[in-house]
Amino acid sequence: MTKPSSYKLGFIGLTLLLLLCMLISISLGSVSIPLGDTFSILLGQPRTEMGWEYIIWNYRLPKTIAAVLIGGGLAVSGLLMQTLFRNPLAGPFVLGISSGASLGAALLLLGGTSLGLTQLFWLNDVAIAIAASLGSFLILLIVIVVANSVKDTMALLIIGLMFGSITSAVVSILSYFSKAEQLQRFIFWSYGSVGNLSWQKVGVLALLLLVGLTICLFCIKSLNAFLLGEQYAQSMGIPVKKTKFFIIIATGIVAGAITAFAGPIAFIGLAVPHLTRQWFKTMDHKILLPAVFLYGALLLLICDTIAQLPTAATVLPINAITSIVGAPVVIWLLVRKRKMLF
Amino acid sequence: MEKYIQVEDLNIGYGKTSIANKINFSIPKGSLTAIVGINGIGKSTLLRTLSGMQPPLSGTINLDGKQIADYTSSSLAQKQAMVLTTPIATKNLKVAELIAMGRHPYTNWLGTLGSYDKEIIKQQLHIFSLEDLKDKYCFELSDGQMQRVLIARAMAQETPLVYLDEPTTHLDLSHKVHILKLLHRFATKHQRTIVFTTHEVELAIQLCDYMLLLDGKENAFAAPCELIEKGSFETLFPKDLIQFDARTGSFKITK
Repeated sequence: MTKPSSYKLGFIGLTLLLLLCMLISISLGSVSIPLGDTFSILLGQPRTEMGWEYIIWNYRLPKTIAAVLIGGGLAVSGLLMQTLFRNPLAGPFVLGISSGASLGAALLLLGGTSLGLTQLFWLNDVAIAIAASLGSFLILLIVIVVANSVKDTMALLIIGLMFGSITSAVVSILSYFSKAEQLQRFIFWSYGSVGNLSWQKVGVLALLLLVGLTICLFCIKSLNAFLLGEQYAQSMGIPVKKTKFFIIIATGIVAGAITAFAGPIAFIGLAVPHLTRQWFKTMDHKILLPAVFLYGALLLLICDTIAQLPTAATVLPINAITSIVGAPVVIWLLVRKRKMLF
Repeated sequence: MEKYIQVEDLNIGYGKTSIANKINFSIPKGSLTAIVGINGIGKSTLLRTLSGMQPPLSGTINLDGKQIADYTSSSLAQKQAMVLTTPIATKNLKVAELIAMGRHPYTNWLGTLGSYDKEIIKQQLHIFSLEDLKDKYCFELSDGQMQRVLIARAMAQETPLVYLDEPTTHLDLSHKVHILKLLHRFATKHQRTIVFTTHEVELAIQLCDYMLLLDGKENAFAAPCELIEKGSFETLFPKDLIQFDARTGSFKITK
C-alpha cells in the first residue's frame, strides 16, 4: 500500500492547482480582470473599476463554480460506470443518459416547431434543461427496468448503447425535418457549455450533485468489492442488486442533471478516472472518488480557459476542447506507461 | 461429530433444466472435502448452489443448523468464504489490498481496517508465504502466486466454511500439492470446514477426509478409503479409457 502521506500530498497538490485554475478562470473573459484584482474582489474588498465586481459576482463566479461541479460530477459518474461495468471504456453516458437528454432537447427544439410551438417561452434554457432531464430519466428508467431482467452487466452496457443509437436516429429524423435556426439551436446545445448559468441554476445543479455524490459515498465499500467481480462481492456480503441500483441512480442524477444544464460534454467522464489512477496509483474508491472529482473539475476548468483563449469575443465549443486537449493526454500517458491501469 | 453442512435430496440446475440430482451428504466441522467428477457434470453449479449464489431446483441445504436461504447476505459472508474460477475483475490491486478485502464483512461502511484486521492480514501473508509479494500488483504474479493470494483473501474472511472452485487448475504438480496441503492444514489445525472441486482425484484421495463423486447416478459420498473399497472410483471415468487401480489408489490408462 502506498503510504497515506503520499495521497495527502496528491490531494494538497490537486486542491492548490484547482484553486489557481479557478482564479485564472474568473479573471479571464471578454473583460480581462488582473489576477490581483480578482483576488481582492473575491475577498470582498470593494472596487469600482468598470463594474468588475458585478461581472465577477454575477457572471464569472457562477460559471467557474459550474465548471467545477460539471467537471467533477462527470468524472465521478465515469468512475462509477467503469467500476460497475468493469470496463475501462465505460463513461457516464453508456447507459444512454446523454442520448436520452439529446432526445429530450431535440423533441423540444426541433419537434416543438413542427407542432407549432414556436413561442419563445417554449425555447428558453430552463425548458431545454427540463426537457433534457426528462429525456435522460426516461431512458434511464427503461434501462433500469431492462437491467432487472438481464443478469449480465455487459448486456446492460450493450442495451445502453442500443438505446443510444435509437435516440440518435430519432434525433437525425427530427433534424432532417426542422428549420435551419432550430437546428442551429440544437447544435449549439449539443456543443456543451459551462457558461450562461445563473446562480439559481448553479444552485439546483449543486443540490442534485450533492444528492448523487452522497449516494456514492455510501457505496464506497461496495464499489471496492465490485473490483473483484459481482460474485466475489456477493460472497463478501455486499447486497449486489441493491448496490447496482443505487450506482445507476446516482449516475443518472449526476450525469443527467449536468447534461440537462450544460449539454452532453464528452470525454471528461471517460478519461479522468484513468488519469487519476495513473497519478494516485490506487483502485481504492475512498481515495479515487474525491481525487477524481478534483481532477475532473481541474481538467474542465483548463479546457474552459482554453476555449476562451483565441479571441476575447468568441468562445469555442467546450465539447471540442475537452476532446482535443484530453485525448492526446490519455494517449500519451498510455503509450508512456505501456499499460492500462484498470 | 457435529454436522456442519447437511444436504438432502438436492437437485441443481438452471431454470427448469436439472444438471444433477439426488445429491445427499453431510460434512462435519473441520474436515476437508473434495468434489470430483468429469467436466460438465455440475461441480461448479453444485458449489454455487451450496453457497447460496443460485437457488436449488429442489431439496434442502442446511448450514450450521439453518437453511441457507434463511441467511442474510451479510451474515452468510461471516459463515462462508469463496474462491471462484472466474478471474478477478481488475488485477490492478496490490496483494495486501486484495487480501484486505476479505475483511469486508467486519469493517465499517468505509471499509476502514482496524488493528485486528491488520493482524489477520499479516497472519495470512505469513501462512501463504506472501510477505515478499505484499506490495506487488496482481498482474505481476504467476498463476500459482495468484491462487495463493485468492485463497489467502478467503481465509482472511475468517469464516468457519470455505468453498473453493478448482483451486489447483493451471498449476504444476508441486504447486497443486502445496495448495492442497495448505487447505488440509487449515482444516486440521484451524478447524475450518473446507469444500473444493477438483480434477486431481489421486491427490484428493491421499489428502481429503471426504469425497463426493458426482457421476449423475449415485453421487457417492464417503471417506476416500471407503469409496475405494466400494469400488466407486471405477465408474467415475469411462472404463475403455481409464481404469482405477484400487491397490495404489491411482488411475491407469486402458491400453
